[in-house]
Amino acid sequence: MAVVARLAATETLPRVAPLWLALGLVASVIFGGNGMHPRTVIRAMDGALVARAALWVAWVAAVRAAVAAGVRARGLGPLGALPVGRGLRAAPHALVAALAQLPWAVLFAVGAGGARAIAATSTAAGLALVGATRPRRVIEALAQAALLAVALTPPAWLPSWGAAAIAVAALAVAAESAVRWAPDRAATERRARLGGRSAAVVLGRAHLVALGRGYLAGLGRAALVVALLAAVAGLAAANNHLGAMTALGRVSLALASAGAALAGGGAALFLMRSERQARWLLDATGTDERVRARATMLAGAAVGALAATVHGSLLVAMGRALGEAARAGAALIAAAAAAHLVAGVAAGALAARAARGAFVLDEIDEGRLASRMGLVVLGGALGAALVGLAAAALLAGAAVIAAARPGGRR
Amino acid sequence: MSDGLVVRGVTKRFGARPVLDGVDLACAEPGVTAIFGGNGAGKSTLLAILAGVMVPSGGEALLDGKSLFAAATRRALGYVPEAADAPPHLLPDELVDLVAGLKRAPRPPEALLDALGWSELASRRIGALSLGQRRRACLAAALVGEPRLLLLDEPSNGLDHDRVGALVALLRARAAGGGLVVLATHDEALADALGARRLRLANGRMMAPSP
Repeated sequence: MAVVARLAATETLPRVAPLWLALGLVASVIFGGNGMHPRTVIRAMDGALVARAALWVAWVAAVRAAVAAGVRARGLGPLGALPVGRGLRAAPHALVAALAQLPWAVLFAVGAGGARAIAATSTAAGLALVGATRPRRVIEALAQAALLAVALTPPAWLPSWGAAAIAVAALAVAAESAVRWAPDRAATERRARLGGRSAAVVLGRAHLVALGRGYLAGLGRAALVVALLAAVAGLAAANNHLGAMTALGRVSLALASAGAALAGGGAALFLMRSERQARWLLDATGTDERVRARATMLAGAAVGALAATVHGSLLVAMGRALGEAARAGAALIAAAAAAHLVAGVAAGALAARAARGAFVLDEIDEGRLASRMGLVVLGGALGAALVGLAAAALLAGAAVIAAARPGGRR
Repeated sequence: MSDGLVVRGVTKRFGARPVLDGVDLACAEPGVTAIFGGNGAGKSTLLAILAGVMVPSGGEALLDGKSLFAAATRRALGYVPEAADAPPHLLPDELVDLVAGLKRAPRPPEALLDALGWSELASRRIGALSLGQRRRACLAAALVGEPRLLLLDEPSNGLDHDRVGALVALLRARAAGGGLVVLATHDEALADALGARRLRLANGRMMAPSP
């Protein structure tokens, strides 16, 4: 059980950690000082079905893929052949899935007490596990229905301890179901068109297809983090009456930097792996290193564009909702969007460089490469926030030059 | 187009350990050359060097008089490594499109893809395919642009009996069409079926044709 828990946690927890970090930042603004109490959020959920459903859907969608990665962790397959019951193997997955709900559990514990927290944590973990695979048996469908009922039923209709008992039982079924169906493979997929005028565009599209299939949940989490941080910028501006463009701009860009670092760092790591997986193919087709660098930069820019769109849209929406104090001018929105794009291009360039640099070392130390990449992207994005876009442009330039520099391989 | 493949004095060291110690090889005429050798003899290393995936410690390799180590020349070769570990998130169809886009060459004809049993694997992620299916996907990608030189590492590994038959027919057709095919293999029956010239790699050097 300890081995299963460790393997699952190794896949799940690093995926939810950025979300925890972003939510911690958001919570410090919303609930800190004279801010809101978690009880207010819970009451808002309890009082309106739409709000309750929206928050539950958003939360489960944010953690589902991370939980699924734990269920499908590499190394778990052979353990299925050991004479250990599926129920026993499912228990660690239930625990890891519940652990992934930490911010959700804290919100309910502080805002509604221990029984509601147990019910909410078990329900979220169960729904995430059900979403990790496709239930096929009646008992699994019943568990799924029970979880949905606990999530959506007004608390006045269902006592807290009753809800907790139902949720824990349904979680046990969901975990067993996830373990049962995890080895099944995906069916067919639609073919993407990889044509293009240049080899860099073709390869860049291939990276984007890989990102869409292998990192979609990561992109979703990144978009959520960026959205949350953009929302915090607007709230902070409104709460502190930061009407002046410079002050609002600094708050917004500072928070954008953290979002860009998280979004760009994760995408860059995926792109680096994608580049490395294609390395022998690219070498054998005589694909130039500059083409490879341009392709990863293109893919990174697309990730940056996604973050820029989310951030820009949020700034506009917050301005409309909160009035003058949180209204961002076109220049600030453009600056935030540019910061994301620059971070995306830099992340792509770093990915290409890191993928090539990995072969300077005989043994690839992915963790070290990832931490370096994250630090550089974070440093550049913070530079953009504190000093201005010139710092980010300098970082992007340095990364592009490093990526385009020939040699360094083998 | 007459020189074929010429390998002279190729060496490769991993640290202080020599794996290839002055390998010579000449394949002037179209046909299939099968390289045999024990585990760790350096067969895969030699093919990876010829494919440009690994850099040699010394020596040269020419294809029709041009260095194989130049990127432009590598567009005239197709390579399938032993693990056939192509990008796992792509579909085989997309893998072929990717290589066609990188080489600026057309996809292989549909008839050729059909011979590889394309319909059963084209729309599934490569990461979800078996070794034999991945090998067929990589072989299709290697055939983009009708390369002059095909380098195949253990090509029959993971293939069922029918697919080995299809592979034999395909490689014979390539050889008859003027192509050069170099295999690294343990499969004597495959070499027999292809009528391949046999070489043996031992102690880092190419030995006389094996019996």
